[in-house]
Amino acid sequence: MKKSGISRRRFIEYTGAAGMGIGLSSVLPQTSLAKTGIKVASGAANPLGLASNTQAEGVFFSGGFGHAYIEYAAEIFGEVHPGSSMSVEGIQRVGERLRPRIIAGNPPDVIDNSGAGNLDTGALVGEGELMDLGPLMSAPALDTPGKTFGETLFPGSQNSGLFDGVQRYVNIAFTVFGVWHSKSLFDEKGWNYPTTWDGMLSLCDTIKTSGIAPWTYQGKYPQYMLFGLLEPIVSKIGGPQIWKDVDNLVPSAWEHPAMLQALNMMKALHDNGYIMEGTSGLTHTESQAEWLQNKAAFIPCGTWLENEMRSITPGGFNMVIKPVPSDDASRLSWIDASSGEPFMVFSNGKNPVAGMEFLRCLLSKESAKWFAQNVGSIMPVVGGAEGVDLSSAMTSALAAVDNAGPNILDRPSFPGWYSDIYSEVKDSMGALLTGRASAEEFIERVQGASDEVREDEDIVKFKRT
Amino acid sequence: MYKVSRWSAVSTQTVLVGWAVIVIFPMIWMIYSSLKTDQELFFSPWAPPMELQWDNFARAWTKAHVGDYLLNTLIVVIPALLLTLIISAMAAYVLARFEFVGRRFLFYMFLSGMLFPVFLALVPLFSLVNQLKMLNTFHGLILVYIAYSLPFTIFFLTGFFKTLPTEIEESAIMDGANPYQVFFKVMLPMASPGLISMGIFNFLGMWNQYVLPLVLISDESKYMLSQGLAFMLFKQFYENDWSALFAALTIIMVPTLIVYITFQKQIQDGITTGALKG
Amino acid sequence: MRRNKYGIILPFLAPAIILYSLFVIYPYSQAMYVAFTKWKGLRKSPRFVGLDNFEKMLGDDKFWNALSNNLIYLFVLPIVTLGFALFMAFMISQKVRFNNFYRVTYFFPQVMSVVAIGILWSFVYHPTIGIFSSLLKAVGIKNPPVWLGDPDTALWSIVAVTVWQSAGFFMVIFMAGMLSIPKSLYEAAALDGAGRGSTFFRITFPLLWENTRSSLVFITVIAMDMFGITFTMTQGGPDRSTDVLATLLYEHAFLHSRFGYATSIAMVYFIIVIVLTLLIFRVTRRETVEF
Repeated sequence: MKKSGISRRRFIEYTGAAGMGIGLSSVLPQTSLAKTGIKVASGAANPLGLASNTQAEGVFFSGGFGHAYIEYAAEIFGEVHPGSSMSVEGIQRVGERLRPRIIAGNPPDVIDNSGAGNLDTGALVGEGELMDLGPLMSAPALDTPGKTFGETLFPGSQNSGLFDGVQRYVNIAFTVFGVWHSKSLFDEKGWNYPTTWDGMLSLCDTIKTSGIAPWTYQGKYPQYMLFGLLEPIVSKIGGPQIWKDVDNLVPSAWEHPAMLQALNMMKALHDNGYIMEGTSGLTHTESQAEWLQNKAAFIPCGTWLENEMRSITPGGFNMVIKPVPSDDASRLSWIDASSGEPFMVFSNGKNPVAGMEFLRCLLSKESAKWFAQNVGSIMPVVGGAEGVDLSSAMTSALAAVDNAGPNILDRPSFPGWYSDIYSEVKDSMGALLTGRASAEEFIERVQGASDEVREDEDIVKFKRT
Repeated sequence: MYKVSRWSAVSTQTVLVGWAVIVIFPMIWMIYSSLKTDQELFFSPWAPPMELQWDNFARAWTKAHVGDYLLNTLIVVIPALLLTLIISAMAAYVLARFEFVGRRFLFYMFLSGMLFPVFLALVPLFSLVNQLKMLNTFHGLILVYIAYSLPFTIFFLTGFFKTLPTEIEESAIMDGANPYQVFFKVMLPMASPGLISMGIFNFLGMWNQYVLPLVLISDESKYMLSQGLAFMLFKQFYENDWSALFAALTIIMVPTLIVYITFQKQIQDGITTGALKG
Repeated sequence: MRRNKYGIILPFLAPAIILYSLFVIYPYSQAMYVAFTKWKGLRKSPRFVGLDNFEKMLGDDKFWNALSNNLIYLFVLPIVTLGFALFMAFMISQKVRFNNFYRVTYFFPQVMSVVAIGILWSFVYHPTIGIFSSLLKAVGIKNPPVWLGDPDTALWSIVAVTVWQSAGFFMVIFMAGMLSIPKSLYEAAALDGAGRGSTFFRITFPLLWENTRSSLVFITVIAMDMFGITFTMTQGGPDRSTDVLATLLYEHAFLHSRFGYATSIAMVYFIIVIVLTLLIFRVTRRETVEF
């Protein structure tokens, strides 16, 4: 369970969230810029050689995090490079919007390829559309003197962007995945978060009798139950090797007994009538809105949830995240946490250097602090949350990571690598949770999709170690 | 004419009234939902709003740019429609009134365009428009709209010109009019009922077009109406502003309704004669 | 009879031919080629693979699933929509009270944007906001179906919306035909003491072949397409229960970067539309009654 490489105490150090920020005071002189107040480290103003007066273009997914934080980073960019600018456009359904421009050989300089309907990353890498970000990783960090850009990022946080050893994108959000509930509601009702799955089921029974639906999920997007439940439960039962085998298209990887057991545990939610009526017809924000009205007690999600629902969260709701329980109480604390929200630079964009330079600004300490403060989530930037007051949701997420100690689980990579398998998982997950597929059928369908991908010579394959 | 029993008259009216309610009610619901808060939408779908939330409309108009989408659509549809009519009428007139080599071939070539599903052409069309440097431009979209409206319009108008009497045309030629004067001064006015039918038929098609702009316009500030509405729906998945979406739907639907009621006779005739000739 | 007729033929035809060749013929002929290639839809050019795409289609469950959904629409929509439209057209043309109001009302959905209809109805069916489910709850049905969230009901919910949208249109088409039937025929039937039912089946319906044929072609095109309504209401879900060829090929092209395969599906779609159209014309050709 090493992969993410963040050990228990060091995590707190990295984020600096608990006010224990590592002393980064430096003897090197720094230049302070007026508006954002960013202090550019000496010799770090323009290591990549951005031409003066570059007008660059960025197009970004605007989802749970919004895109105000990207505008802030563009401000930093403009201050570091007077005369140059980065335009910021926030969009949804990135694939539909940008594919035409990619075919046309006219992509933006930098994008955030996230959200429903995004571009197929595997195909982009396979076709050589993405810039090798190696020079960025080894360039000096913008406002952390004496470190390279790569060194200022959480260890392991950029592994998913490595394709055959080459950095093709950078992840800009550190996200904790788990099960959410309202602390206020649980306190009021005297419910305690369970330590095992059996405990979960019996608590669900209690919740159901009280007239509240125990569970809901992001109905039309059943993949939330993949990263919220299936991934961690399988790892807790059978170890993290299973997901590596899945990513590497090992034959029968999905047929591992832990997979079957985990799927059956999840299916029990449906079989016992614990899932809120109507769930399968709701979008993610709609199901989350229901949950905020205490119509359901639990919902899976990542830490973007809080910001996404901020405008309609009732006062005193107190949302908290917990790791999902499994068969073994001693593994309760194991939790999925990883970096996501991939930003990429196009190799044949007009200004690839500007794209990389923008990422250096976006993942600067100053920008990370703004993100922590205003978006309520954190970037995988060392010291990026120094001196920032975090919300109850983020505090609970960091506590969960802290409790997990070395047992931070990694997310599998197949969703980004092989869109065919991911589609099949989404469909089968929906079928499983509405009682239309058994755990065995789920496995058969998904294994079938995996076998097809393995045998299709036209799909570029990637390896995970 | 024949005996209609009382019972059957009552049951006829019941069915007709029932269907009218089914057609109208969703729209009434949409309009009053557009004046509610998000909280009210969730808790009491049937109840009218406690207080009218005009702000929903303000958000839809400005923040969601429904006003811009309306304007963009007009900028594209009006010239596209006029040009479609004039270009089609010229071609149809020649196809209907002159004998020349390749006439049948041309007619069937245009006719075949009615059978192609637009999906088949989507990707190559995109590359083409891109090579012409017309992606994200209104004039590019106008030309594509015209091209895809030609087959049916030419087909319909050719049939229409054939039904017109030749005497007036011939006497105009006798009077010394040149072929252009004959066409513009004599034939076009005579063809106006056909042109109106095609005008209405194409207007609705272009006004509601979704797939073509989806592929050819990716700049949000240049979105067409349907595209902008779908965009709002997808954006809505992240922004929790249902009431503004209802307001946007209302903004788009009410003008359509007013125009429709005012011109309903012409619109129905235009669409059905268009459809029947096809 | 006309001097220098090419002086008018060429300039009058030129704009139409140029625009049509450039934006219609050229892309379609390109598509014919792309269907026989593998192409990721990115910068690298398509690679010719012969019939590979069509072979793959034969073994592709998702293709057959989408096609069978189109076939359900092809079977159900003509019967339900045209049957209902014909029924209403007959009733309204009998000079019932308010017939003008009904005609205007029923036709209205036809002029609305498909996207607007899709969005409106996805809210009507919505499990919490929607009026439909809360109406059922109000009359005592505790757990009404999750219309668009349940594979058993999603397709039929879309059928209902399509009927809602297009029944008025087909009704008006049939009414246009009914109005052109000479009154004398009805009077003669009335003299023979025919009732409403036998008048309809012996006079009205046989004289409507022309209109029925056009309607059949239109509803076939609608049933094969279904893209706008599906894309805004369910995007082919849940669990592919509403996937049709148009949404499937869109997914292959724009989600999985398989433009060659997507275009080959579009070819099949095209061939089906052509064959059905020709079939309808053939079957209905000799039945037209002149009067």
